[in-house]
Amino acid sequence: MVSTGTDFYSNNNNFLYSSDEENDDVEIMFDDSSDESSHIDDTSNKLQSFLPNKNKLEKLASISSFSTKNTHVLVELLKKDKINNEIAVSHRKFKNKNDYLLFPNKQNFINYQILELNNLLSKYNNELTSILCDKPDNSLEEYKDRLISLLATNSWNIFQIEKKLINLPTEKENREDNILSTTGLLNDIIIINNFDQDALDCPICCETITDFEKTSFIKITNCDDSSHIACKDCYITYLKSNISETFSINCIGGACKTKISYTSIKKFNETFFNNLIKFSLLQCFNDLNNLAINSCPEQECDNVILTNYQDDSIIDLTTTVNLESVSCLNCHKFCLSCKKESHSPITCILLKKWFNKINEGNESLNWVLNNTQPCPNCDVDIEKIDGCNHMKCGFCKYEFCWICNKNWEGHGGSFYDCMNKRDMDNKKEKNMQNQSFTRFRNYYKFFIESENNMLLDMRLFNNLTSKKLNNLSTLFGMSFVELEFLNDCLRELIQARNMIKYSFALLYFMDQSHNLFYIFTHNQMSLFSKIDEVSELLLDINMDSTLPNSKRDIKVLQMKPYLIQATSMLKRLQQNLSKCGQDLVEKKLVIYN
Amino acid sequence: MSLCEQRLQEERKKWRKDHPFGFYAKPIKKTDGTLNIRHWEAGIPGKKDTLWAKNNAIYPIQIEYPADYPSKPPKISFPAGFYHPNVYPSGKICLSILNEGQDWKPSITLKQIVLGIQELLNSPNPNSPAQDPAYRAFTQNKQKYVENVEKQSLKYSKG
Repeated sequence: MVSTGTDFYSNNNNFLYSSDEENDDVEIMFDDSSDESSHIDDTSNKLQSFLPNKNKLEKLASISSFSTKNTHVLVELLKKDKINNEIAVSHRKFKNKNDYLLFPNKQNFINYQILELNNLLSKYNNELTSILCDKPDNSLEEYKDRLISLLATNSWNIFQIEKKLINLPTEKENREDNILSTTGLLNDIIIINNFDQDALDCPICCETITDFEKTSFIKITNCDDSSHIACKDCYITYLKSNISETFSINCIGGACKTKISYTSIKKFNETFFNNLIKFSLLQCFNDLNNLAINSCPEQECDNVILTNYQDDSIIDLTTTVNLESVSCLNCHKFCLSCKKESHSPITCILLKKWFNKINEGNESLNWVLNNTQPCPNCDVDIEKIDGCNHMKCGFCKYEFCWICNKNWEGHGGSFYDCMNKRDMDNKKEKNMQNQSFTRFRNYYKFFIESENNMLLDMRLFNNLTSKKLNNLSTLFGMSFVELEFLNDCLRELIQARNMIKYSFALLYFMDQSHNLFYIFTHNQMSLFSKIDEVSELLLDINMDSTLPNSKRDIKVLQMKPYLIQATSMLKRLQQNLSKCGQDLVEKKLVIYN
Repeated sequence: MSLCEQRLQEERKKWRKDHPFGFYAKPIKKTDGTLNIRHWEAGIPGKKDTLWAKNNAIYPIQIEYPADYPSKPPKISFPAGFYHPNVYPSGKICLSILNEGQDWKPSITLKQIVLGIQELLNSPNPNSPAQDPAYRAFTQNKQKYVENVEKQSLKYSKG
């Protein structure tokens, strides 16, 4: 019906943007270099073309420990779908509830799982218990706490714990204790209230205490120094002042590096314990390098996404062009790599530049830009108020040089050299910025306009309450499920608007002289016209009004087939645009300025 | 009496009872003659047989205790312009135990602090440079560094 990318790619089969209306259910897109038609309907054919990749699949499956149990599901899935030579970018729902696959590039995939925060701990408990041991008393509160502290100190990453387990003796007894004790995290807080002396001074507040029953002293069991004690009040003040800054607290004694275990902190105060857990989780959520555990960036959405991502070896985040957006159980789409709302087709790096650009005019943000630097590891803005150039990010604890932004390690001697270099870079940057300002303003206008349109559609979406749906369902005698198409349509519309918005941002960075630029704008325009069409239609049937109006509501029913079709069209056009944008970035047709 | 003052009184008592040889530390007298317990001055001799001990120098420091001491570390500074790789031009000292969020603990005493600073004098940390001249000389021109330190020790000489 509407063909998009294919027209432009008729000479090059490698860039086939699926544009066939019949393939509504295909979410995985494939490159096809051998077959021009690309739509093989015969299942055996598909299976055959899949076979050469079997080894690869097994290799991939072996990377992922999630997938050992899911490999058969994956094979089934690949048989069922239209399979050609290579899996390109997309993600796919497993049959298994809430299990997904994500393909950030052609070589790798990430397996991920969506959970609600409440279910997170119980899931972890089950998984950990299976790799540790079946204790008869594993229902005990303390055992659970130990598991949680194990996770909190290991980036909530079960693979990390498994790795540590390999290096430990094989006895199954108390394996969690073993790991905890190797990190020095197995200790107890003891309360001492009988001493040889009659009176003792607390080394912190210098109060002389004679009545040990009334005021007790606190000590950590695996710290050998008997002077590392403090009265209960002082110890609590000490813990309190540290609780929101770190997830591992040391013993109170001067230079003592003994860590205090979570379980002993819990004995002190349950809130402290919970805060530590929260801080540790939050740090993992915010750590852009930790893909293993992510939270939905939407406020008031407590979905957590766990992936089988283990370390940098699978995907290099800096070169991954576009880590496709993931959507949580509440349909909030977001990007796994920058942990912000979905921004396809623009990449995370470019998006950051774009927002920097926008903020140039804003005074308070100007201040941030002039007076702070983003942490090279986690991108948190850091202001330097005093101290030397040896910076330690308060957020992710990354140590770097303030001048050249490089890792501090091995930096020592060449300290004053990097200062001169940076000044020169700054000057170059400024010239470039002046040239591109006019161009920026134009695209920024489009960007803001699309954002406003999106907000309007979101209002419409929020108005489509259950009350409205109720009215419609009684009017037509239809179930809610049958009316679901209205929700789907609006959701797709909003997502399409979101994509249009970010595509303008990408256009700003692109080389206008290249042919692909026009292909991209063409794709963009087809999506744009479809959006207009759909939103006009929705306006026509007046989704905005909550009052029942039989004449107009009848129209909804008449429009149903068209709206369903339009929804899938929108989806398809979005895929095209996203793929095209990805090609642009991959081909380095982006002017980085 | 607040926790801060109580602790400082005790620090003062302990110091008077026993302190490392050659050091001094006392609260500053206000104009009306009373003591300002939260503002101290102290002197640090160079470690024996080191470059810094030449001319029997005693290096003066100012110690300012914040109201939430001992939860927060005291602010300690040499006179402005002090020549040492880890001392800022303002005189502030870059030392991890004096840094909140780094190694500061409420149990660290004045004695530990001054001994720590004495240690820092002769063994600067080249990974945390705080001023250009001393850092540059220390890493590139040892002879010049030694000369400057000696010149400085003469300035703070106590005979």
